[in-house]
Amino acid sequence: MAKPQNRREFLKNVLRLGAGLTVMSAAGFSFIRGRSNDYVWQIDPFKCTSCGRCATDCVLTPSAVKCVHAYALCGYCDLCGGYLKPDHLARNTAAENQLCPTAAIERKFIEAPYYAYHINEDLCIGCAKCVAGCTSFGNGSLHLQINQHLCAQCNECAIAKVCPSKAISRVPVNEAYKIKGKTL
Amino acid sequence: MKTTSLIWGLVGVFVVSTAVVVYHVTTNNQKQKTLEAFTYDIDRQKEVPENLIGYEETKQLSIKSGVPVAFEMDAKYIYLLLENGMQIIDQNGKEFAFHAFTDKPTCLAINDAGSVFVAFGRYVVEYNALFKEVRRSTAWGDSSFFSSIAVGKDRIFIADAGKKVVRVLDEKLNALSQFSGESGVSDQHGFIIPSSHFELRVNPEGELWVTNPGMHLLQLYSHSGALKRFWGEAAFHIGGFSGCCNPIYFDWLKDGRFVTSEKGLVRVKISSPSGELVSVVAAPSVFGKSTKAPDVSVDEADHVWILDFDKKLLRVFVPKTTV
Repeated sequence: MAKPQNRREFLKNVLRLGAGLTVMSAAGFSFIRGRSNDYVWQIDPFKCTSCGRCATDCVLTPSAVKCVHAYALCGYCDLCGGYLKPDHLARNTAAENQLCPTAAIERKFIEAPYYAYHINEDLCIGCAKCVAGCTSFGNGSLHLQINQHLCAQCNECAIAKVCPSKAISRVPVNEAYKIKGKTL
Repeated sequence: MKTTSLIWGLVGVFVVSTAVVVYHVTTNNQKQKTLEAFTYDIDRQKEVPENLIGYEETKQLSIKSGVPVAFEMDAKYIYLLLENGMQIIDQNGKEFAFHAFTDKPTCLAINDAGSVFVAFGRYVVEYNALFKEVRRSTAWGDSSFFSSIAVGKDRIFIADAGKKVVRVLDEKLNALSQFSGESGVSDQHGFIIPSSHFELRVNPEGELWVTNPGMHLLQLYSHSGALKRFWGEAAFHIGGFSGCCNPIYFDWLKDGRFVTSEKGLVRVKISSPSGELVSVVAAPSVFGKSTKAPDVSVDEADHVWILDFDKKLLRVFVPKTTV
């Protein structure tokens, strides 16, 4: 015959059971959440039309979309369409000559006539103005990608909803980035 | 009492609805303004003063046999290089021959004897006037990419965009030498080829002209590779060459003036032998939203033929007649 429980033991058991259920629920929730994160949102740079909506429609401010630079594709041009305004006054780093509205692209002289361009991700707002300039006049080495460390992984991506070229889709987490030049 | 509550209720609904509409309109306007600020606008650069446009389009030939790659002209025929073969047509578009290729061709050249030289990326094949293969060169390394061929008196010149050199071959297609455009002068650089465009031509005087697109220059070289002269200016304005790399294609009018074609800000212009802008053949508006440089060639009548890759058209431009 089972030993009758006193009130203290009964409460202890209830608490143990509750804690166990909580741990199991948390583990189960993490498992489900982990599975839902097997896919992440990403931009196909070959479909992107540099419309600017990545900057205006992301739920995050600034946007989780950032410009990335495929160095292997870059021409290291002095007259860089992604860095300089079309009506620039001089080919230098003066603010009035820069195309980027937040001055997120850094230009550095290497050797005549080559210049290196680096994206300061903290300043980039994903507006794609530089992407349009680079694609129009260069090799398209500047392109947009969703930074997975910043992205909120919304169930329905607010940018994907308004993207005119349907360039944003879910991709497997192990292929989280579509960097240009990797397959060229 | 009930009526008063109803009225206040309706007023409340009206106020809230108005607020919501105003909020949406305001935020949408703000978003629209922001989007406009992010628009890459080169409309002003696309504008060309009407008095500079010296040519008008008079004819178009549609290309239906394949995807165009390049073209050349002699007095009688147009040699249209397609991804799947070579189509030989007259100036009215009537086809005389089509020769299929198994490999993908990249460029072509013709000589006075009617021979046709076609490059297939890393090697060249010479065909006679009946399009029978005469000889072929050995294939260069994997990183070679032949983007242009020109035929001189006893030399064949190949622009290798992959290796960024001009290759010099003899008449039997044997390699003789190569040069990378370095002149030894401090302010001049060798060939800078940011994209796969690298063009060369030999003019009727036997001069070898080569584009240095990354430097926005047209350069004259001796057959041994010594830089003799150059002209060009990197600029978005109509007199310069814009973007990362231009000019892409070129040819000459009979009097030695250059016809150049640019990508990005797509335009075809006439420049004096020393590089001063003379007139515009085709302004960017002629090419719509295309950013691909059209191939150019000049016929016996000094008419400028333009290969519009996007529209798959051969377009003919003749000097405007003064009214």
